[in-house]
Amino acid sequence: MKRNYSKLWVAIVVLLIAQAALQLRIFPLWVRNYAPKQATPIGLAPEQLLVAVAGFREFMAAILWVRADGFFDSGNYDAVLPMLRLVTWLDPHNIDVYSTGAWHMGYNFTDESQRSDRRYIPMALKFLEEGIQNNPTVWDLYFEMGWMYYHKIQDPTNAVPWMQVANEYKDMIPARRHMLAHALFKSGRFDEAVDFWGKLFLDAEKDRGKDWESSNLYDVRQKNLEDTILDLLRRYGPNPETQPPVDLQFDATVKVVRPRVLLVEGKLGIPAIGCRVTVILRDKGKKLEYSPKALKTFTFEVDSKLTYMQDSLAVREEKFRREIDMSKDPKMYPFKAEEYEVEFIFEPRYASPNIQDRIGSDGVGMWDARYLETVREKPAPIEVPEYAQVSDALRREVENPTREVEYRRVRKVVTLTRADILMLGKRGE
Amino acid sequence: MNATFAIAGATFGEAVRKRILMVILLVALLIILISPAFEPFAAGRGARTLIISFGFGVIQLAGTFIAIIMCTGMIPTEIERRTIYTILSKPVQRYQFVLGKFFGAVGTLGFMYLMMGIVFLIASRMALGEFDPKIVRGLIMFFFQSSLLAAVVLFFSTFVSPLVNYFLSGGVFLLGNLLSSFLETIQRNPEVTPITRIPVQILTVILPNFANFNVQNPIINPEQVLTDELAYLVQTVAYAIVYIALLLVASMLIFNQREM
Repeated sequence: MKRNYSKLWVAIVVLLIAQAALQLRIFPLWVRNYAPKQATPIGLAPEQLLVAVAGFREFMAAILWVRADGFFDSGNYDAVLPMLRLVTWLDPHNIDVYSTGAWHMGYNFTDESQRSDRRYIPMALKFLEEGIQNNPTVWDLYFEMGWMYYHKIQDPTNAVPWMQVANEYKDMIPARRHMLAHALFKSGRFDEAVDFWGKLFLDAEKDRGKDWESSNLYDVRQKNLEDTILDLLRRYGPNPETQPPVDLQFDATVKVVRPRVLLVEGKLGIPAIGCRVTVILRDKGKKLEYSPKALKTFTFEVDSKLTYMQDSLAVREEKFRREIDMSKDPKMYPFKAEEYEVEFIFEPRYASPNIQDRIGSDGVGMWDARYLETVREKPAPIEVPEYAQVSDALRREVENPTREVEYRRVRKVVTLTRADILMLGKRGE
Repeated sequence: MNATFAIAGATFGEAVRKRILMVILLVALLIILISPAFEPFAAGRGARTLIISFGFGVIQLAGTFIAIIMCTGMIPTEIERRTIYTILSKPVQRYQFVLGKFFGAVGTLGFMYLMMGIVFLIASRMALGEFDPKIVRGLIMFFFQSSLLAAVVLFFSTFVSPLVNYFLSGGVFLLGNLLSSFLETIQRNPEVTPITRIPVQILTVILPNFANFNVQNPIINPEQVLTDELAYLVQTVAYAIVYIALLLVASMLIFNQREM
């Protein structure tokens, strides 16, 4: 009998070692593919925090997500935010929650005049960054990050690296790939934009005629490639339409007409419809940093003392004028600082094509004696997660960007005091 | 071997006649069957996530309860009823008895997973209008998870009472589900000292790791791109088989030494 027992003991030791060896092989793959990754603020993973729900983790997340949708439909936007947090703790691999949540933060918090509360944008970027860290093998959130820069922030320079990363994924929706070409063009990287349209066109040519969608994709890419080349020839080729430069004679004034209500007006000498001047009012010296790194950790709390208003003013007959009422949204415009900057900017990168034909998409065809500036910038370095499916060359490029772009803009800054804006000591507050 | 299969057959027959197990199965089947009702609730958006995650949750929970309830009493009941003396007085070795009991339990689990799986596939097909073959993969992994749990429960049943076994097996299952994510969390935290980390690493390697089998998340969120998925699944199944073998050998060793 004793001999049998010793055989059993040997078997136990061998099996124990075998299972340990297997577990050591499985664990790194489990971390890569199945680990929740996202820790909660108290440093615990969802599994530890939600022992009670065990196998119903994703189900609970789905239920909360449906509930969040209900809050959204009823306009209760504030209630959506904690729901987003809970859902992503429970199921950090639900891409829809990250993309929709970031869009919600970036776009849906507005004042009475439908101006976005831009204090939420760094929060949206941080949320997307968290989603990317949790889902490095999915292209969607890199694209969403790029889109946030391209469309909401109107910063094509910083949209490019994110869209480049998204474009490395083979399963990316073909039409979404076009956004990288648009972002390259808007950021002034014309040569790369043409090259990329060319590459997309050749890719589409392979599948041309396969089905309606492929043929349509081919047509769209062909047209965009041709239009891009023609635009560049018209604007920067021999005898360019952008020369001689247009003298903008830019000017802008701001007047406080009632407490917290500003009348902004000015001149921009482009005799065509399609120009917009951006006006920003903010605490003096406090620029909003549009970067996921602007926040150390994700939070739903915006800086309640910061006032930041941004609007876009249409130019008609070379003039712009608008009354900006900030009196109805004291939470969004608390006016706690002593001094404020009102900044007026016209830059051509997002102007309509007819305007860009005259002044160039980088402003080479515009001139102003007082307020013209040349901006030189590089994309901010981005952190690509370890498991992202990107080439080493692109990883190096986006982590240490070298390509500098240049464009012209006109910019005027006016300083106001809190007493001016609140009309303290007059008939104001 | 015939004796082993005879005991397995008898165990299976006994288990499917147990009312408590059948009630759990029936309740699970009914709940899975009504899961398409969530579709209008989700108003199209997230309906897939809702229905599939709910189905997986119900099946995993039912499988866990079935494994624990079925196996805790397997050996102690035979001793209590003294039927074990009748069995062992025949040409049946003790190891054959343990093996037969385990195979009977696995057969029962297989039958129950088959039932729940078929209903789940029908329900998801009804609700979503498509058949997702990946669901089968998740069900197979849950089956191995429950089989490993059954082996753990059977191992404890060779030396503890059923009541203690409920808590012991439940605790090991819980711990086995948490250790990997706990280890992953502390590995990412540079402030955790080796004194804290090393014991967790050792426990993760020694204790049965049930979290390995929770592969439902990428099935629920199909956008996820997995690395070496096949290798992972094969290794995890091999892990289950090796660990079950380990527990069965240990059970035989204890059961052989037990005086009856």
